[in-house]
Amino acid sequence: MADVIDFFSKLFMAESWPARWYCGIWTGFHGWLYIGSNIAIWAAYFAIPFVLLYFIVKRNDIPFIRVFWLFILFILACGVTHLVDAILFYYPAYRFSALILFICAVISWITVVALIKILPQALSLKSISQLEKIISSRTKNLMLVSADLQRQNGQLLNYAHITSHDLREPISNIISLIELHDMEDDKKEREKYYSMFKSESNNMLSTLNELNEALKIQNSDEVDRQQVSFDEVLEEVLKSISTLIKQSKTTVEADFSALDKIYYPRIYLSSILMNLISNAIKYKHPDRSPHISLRTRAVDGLEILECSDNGSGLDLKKYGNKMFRLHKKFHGNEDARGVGLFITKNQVDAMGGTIEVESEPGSGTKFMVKFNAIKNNI
Amino acid sequence: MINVAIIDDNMILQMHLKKLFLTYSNIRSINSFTSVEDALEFFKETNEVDKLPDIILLDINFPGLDGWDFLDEFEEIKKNIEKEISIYMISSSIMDSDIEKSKAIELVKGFINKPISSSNLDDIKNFKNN
Repeated sequence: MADVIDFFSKLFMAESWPARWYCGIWTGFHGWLYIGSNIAIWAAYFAIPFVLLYFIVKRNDIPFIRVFWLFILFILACGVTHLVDAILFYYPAYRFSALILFICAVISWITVVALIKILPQALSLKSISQLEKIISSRTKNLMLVSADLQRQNGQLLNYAHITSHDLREPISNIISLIELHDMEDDKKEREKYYSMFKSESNNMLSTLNELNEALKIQNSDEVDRQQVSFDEVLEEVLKSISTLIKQSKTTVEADFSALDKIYYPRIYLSSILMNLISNAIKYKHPDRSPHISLRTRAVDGLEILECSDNGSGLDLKKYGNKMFRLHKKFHGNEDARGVGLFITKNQVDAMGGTIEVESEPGSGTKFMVKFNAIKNNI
Repeated sequence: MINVAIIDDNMILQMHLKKLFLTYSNIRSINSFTSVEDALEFFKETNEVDKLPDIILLDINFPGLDGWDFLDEFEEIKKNIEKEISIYMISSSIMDSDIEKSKAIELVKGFINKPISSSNLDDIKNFKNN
């Protein structure tokens, strides 16, 4: 105990030892190398905490902030031991030096323990490349969800348009016809309005049915996907419309060698092929019999069905954005243009695909169904 | 006396309008078009002020060029026409987007919702119902 009291009471005294220069034999080079290096280490150990401090202040989201503070203390303490070591050459306060070494030792061990404690947690931290992977996989999921939402939103707008226009139109017509009927005295005229009234009512009903069919496609999670062979489905479709094909002298050529099967709902593929083929026949060129060429392609994982015809074609500048809309006209005209393609587009969309069209008036039309376009794009 | 043009592919509407116009005292003639293409052709070829309409009733939805396309092209055609022509949209659409869009177009003087009746045609100035 007397030693301890002696130690602290004479902490800064240097009377018991010679300055280090005079203790043993130092050459100038040796001594200055020792002093210079110690001073340099001290300066560096004082600079490092400031860099760390700057880092901590700028990045307030770093983990293990307490360990950073410990590190700052630890390095400062180490620096001081080197400074004192250099001072001993002139002022041999060996007691003070021992105290500084002791403080540095305590801080060093606290740091060691703290480091060991956080080690498991630090190991479980995700590396930047791991985080990037997680982010990119989440982003991909979000993009899929967003693409699906965009598609659904587009469909809702389409339905809003259908109800606001296509369903209101026949009702307006029915109201008009009732008024015309009431205004008219001539019996024959009245009968004419009455029969138009009946056909408008039927139009209304068939529009509702088509809308209903399209809405069913929307709830299509339950539709079974399976491996379907293009050849098989085409054969069934051609069989079911064989009379139409014969009468219109249509020739159909198919090449499914690049992609002969697809994981897709069989009823949809059948309906898509049916609509594309009957559409090509319906809009055939007046001067030649329809020729339809079907082929599949697989490009970079994208599964594509192409259907080209030699029909009358369309000016896409005029009609492009309306091709796939439900667009039935309500004036007793039998032309149901657009309904088949409207259903086809809904089916393709619901399964995460897109349908595109190229056409040249007079020379034909080509439809491209990209079955998995949405997923493949992301 | 005024001339009216109807551009609508709905034959029932055309019939109804013509019937209603019989009761209007100041309508001289009615020009009816069932497609925007036909209507544009007429306006491109016709210069005589007497033959041109004072009022156009224009539907929005057509299978081919639609009412908006007509308005686009009419901006150009109008420059060669020495007659003040008022256009009224006439549509079954009750979509706000359609109504707002038509309000933004200077050429369009009004938006009439189907079904039409003599009362909503009263919105059209110059019509004299007796």
